[in-house]
Amino acid sequence: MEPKLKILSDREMLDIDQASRALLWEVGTLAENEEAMDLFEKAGAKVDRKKQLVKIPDHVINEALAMCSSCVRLYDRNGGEPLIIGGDHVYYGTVGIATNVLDFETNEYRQVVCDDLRDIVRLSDVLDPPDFILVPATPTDVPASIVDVIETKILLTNTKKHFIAEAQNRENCLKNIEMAVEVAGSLEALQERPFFSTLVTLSSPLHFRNDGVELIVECAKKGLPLFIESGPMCGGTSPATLASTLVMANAELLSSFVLAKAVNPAVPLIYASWARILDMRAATCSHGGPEFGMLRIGTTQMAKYYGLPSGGGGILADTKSIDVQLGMEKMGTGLLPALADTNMVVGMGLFADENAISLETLVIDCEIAGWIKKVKKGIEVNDRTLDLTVFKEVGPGGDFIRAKHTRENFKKEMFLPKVMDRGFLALDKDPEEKNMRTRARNYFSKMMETYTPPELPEDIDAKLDAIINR
Amino acid sequence: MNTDEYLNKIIESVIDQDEAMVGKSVEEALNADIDPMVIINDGLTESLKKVGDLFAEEILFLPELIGCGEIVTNVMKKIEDKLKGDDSITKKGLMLIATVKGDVHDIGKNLVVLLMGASGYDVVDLGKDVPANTIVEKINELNPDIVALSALLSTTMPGQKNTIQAIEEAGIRKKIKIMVGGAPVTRAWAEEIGADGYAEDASTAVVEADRIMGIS
Ligand code: B12
Repeated sequence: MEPKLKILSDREMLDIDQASRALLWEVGTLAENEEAMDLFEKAGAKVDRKKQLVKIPDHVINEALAMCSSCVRLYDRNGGEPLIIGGDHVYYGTVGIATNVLDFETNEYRQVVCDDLRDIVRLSDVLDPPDFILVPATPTDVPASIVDVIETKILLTNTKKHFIAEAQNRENCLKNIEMAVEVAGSLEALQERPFFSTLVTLSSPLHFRNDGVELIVECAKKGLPLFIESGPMCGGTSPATLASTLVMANAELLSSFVLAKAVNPAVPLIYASWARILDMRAATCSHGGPEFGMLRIGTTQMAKYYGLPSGGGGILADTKSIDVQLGMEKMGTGLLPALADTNMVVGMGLFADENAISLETLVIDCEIAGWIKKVKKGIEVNDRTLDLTVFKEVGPGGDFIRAKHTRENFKKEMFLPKVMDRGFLALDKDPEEKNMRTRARNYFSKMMETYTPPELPEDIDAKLDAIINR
Repeated sequence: MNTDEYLNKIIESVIDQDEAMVGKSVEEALNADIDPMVIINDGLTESLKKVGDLFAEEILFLPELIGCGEIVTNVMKKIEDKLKGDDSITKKGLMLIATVKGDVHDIGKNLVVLLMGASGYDVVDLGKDVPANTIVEKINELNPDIVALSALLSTTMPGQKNTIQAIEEAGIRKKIKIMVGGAPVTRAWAEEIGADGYAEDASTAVVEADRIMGIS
């Protein structure tokens, strides 16, 4: 069996479902956007135009949920099998939109530039996982008004893995789609095998932003997948109990699903969350503590309660350096959601409570994800793994290192670390000389030596630039 | 009781987050003919400095800091209402604050509002996602001493710059002091765009405001 983790009982999930429905009906959600109010009205919600308040009755939520699929297929550009987002599949991705990078060479923080994003995307392209790439960093050396479309171009030109793009408004969202259509050959080709999704972040408490509405509407119209995240902060933008924070995260997602399905019943939707806490000592938003992992199990269970594909933050850290805290936080916030079968765990590379990224952390997170993947496979107990022949062959007092059985099985049974140190303690050497970070750096250099990025025909490249600069 | 004892009682009841007791202690101090400005500066505002220190020492937490801030704001307002028309009450100044256009992050800004309000400033909060021209209009309307701009995104930091430009173009730059903040904002950026002040968190925002206003 595979190890599984739950934090909510069936009754508790029902309670959260009921409270979320009550919240959407009795309190409602703000939608300061005409288009959104029209759509909610069309779906059957009660809309107070003056207050811009939308109250959603139960049956409207049920109708939206009935239009959702239990899985979403995310394609890449290699023509391979899609990632099946749903059920107990777990995939790992980068995330970030970070504006700072801990420089590989100087070990100092500086602002992210386009070349950094390119390098991070290339490393993400070659490492396995990430299985998909959510924009990991925001370059600061290009005009803010087009930074999102530039990010999309960097993704299109440096990886064939599935990616999740961001957009700051309708115009840029449409440009993202237009660029992807250029690469796909046609809109139909893109719709058939969507190799990118669009990120939508919801605002807590219960408030639709214009940009969010625009992204939902445009992607839904074209039937392109949406990765929608709610991110209330317990004690800040949601009540100070973890249970109510789950209710808020859930209600916000349900309301966004109603909106998206009102545009197009066929739009593929992923239920994702970053429900988290406000640290009451530092007044910061924390992503590395036990609550983060607990809330992720909670939001994942709620997605499964409705039979929806799930996602959310994981493998994250608040620490500002590559230190012991980093390992502790990232393992904790990676392992918990994975054991709950969060279908898309996003966080690889990011640290410093969402404010920084680095090449080394990406390598380290790849190792952490590998470790977790191993745990998730569980201990296989069957004829192959319990074969008595090898006991008989070796007999009492013998050793197994020379057995053929060992040669045949060790790779299947054991996790083979890429950067973790398991060497001897050499007393004549400085143990710090080859610490995790140095090893991660060396591994990066080794991986990139032979790497060639995917190539795009020159005319397409020029067309992408034309779209960006229009 | 001497003046210090009256003031200490105010300070202690703020730290205890006992609003009724803060009100009562202020009442007693006023009845004992202590100058209202002394009560405000050396009692109430001083108590928040202590609370700020306790927060920094990790003895008090954010909700308690906010709770103290609210108590002081309420009591301060009561004193002002009571002594309306009495020119012995002076505020440090009026601050106009907003999160700039395109940006909806407002939790940090709200903390700045609270602590500035509790530290002797009048504060008008224009909210989030506020365009530069609205800010210019409001400056003309309200005549603030300080304009504070918050931005949490690298993509909206230029909004701080644009707002300062709009203020310059409107010919009212010299009338006001400008302060900027938000997680990605640095002192270097503040200098680059011609702001007068910058602070990295809400409690240093008060210190910085005092500095640029020339209040020691
Ligand atoms: C919460 C949050 C949100 C919430 C905001 C809810 C709300 N009501 O504010 C939601 C989910 C809506 C959100 C949305 C987005 N966010 Co956001 N968000 C955050 C997060 C996690 C925490 C911010 C916070 O509240 N911190 C706690 C408060 C108390 O701290 P603070 O804001 O820094 O304020 C303190 C100081 O800065 C200072 N201060 C603040 N203002 C001022 C003003 C003055 C004058 C002074 C003196 C001082 C001062 O004092 C405050 C108190 O001490 C940060 C990451 C992080 N950990 O910082 C990302 C972050 C800021 N967001 C980010 C991004 C990218 C976005 C989105 C663009 C995502 C997307 N693609 O949709 C959208 C943009 C929405 C928009 N148009 O504004 C990025 C920014 C990167 C960049 N490019 O610059 C960050 C860094 C995370 C990340 N790496 O992805 N976000």
